[in-house]
Amino acid sequence: MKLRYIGINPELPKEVIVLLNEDTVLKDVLIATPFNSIKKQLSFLSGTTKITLEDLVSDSDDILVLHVLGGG
Amino acid sequence: MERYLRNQSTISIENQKLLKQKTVVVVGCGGLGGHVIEQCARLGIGRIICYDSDVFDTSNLNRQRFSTEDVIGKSKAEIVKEELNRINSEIEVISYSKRLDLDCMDEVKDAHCIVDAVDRISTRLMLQQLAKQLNVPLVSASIAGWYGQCTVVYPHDDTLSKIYPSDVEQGIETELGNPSFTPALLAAIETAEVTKVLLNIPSDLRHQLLVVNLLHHEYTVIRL
Repeated sequence: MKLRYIGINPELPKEVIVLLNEDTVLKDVLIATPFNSIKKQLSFLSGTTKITLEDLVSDSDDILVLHVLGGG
Repeated sequence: MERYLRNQSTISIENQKLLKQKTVVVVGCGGLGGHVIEQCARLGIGRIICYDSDVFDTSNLNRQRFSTEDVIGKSKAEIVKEELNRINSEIEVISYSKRLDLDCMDEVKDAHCIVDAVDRISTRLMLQQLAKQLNVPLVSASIAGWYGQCTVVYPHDDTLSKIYPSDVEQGIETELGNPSFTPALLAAIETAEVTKVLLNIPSDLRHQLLVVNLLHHEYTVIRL
């Protein structure tokens, strides 16, 4: 299990963006969820925690997790 | 050209003259926008069009470039125009104390680049659509706490649709706030990308997202 958190504190239970490599075998799993898109922006998981994400994925180092940043 | 003497070597005299002929639209005159607008003016971009429907309030004083105690309650767009005229009277500044929307196409039709400095995700996605219709690049950044991100969206790239949900208005900034240093840094990155766009220098942030973590100094570029 390799989740790579980019620029975030994974302890914060907050909406995150999951970026998934196109070639990963997990693509179908995440696309099957009600999240939009093809290659990368695969999910916006409300209230996601690390544990929830780990439930979604298996062995991969291609899972990038980012917070939604909206400030200006 | 003495004003721009320290630009030289980085920006040639020819390119400096080119910048004078360019128009940039900056949407939002707050945390990101205030710094972007100032840097564009000092850089010598010939025409800056800015939009903000808001007035300055006390909570802006921690980070917004043109917020001072004596302008609380005053229009951000109007104050920005006044201040820019003091910084560089050789450029044209047009400011609108209103929101930019798709009905404003005529006001921005001559833009060479649009800068996203807003604080609502739906507005960012609207700007992407507007830039596509105008067929100009959009430079986009956002911030929250110690974190920021920036990307450059060319027409039809639709990069923001890959990184923002359509049903959420705000992100983690609602919990982390926005300190002084994050908007200043991300605004500088945006201005550098604006400069590349205007001078036809390829941007490394097209189809890529720069994610900045100032807490641990991680600077990550993610292919999108």
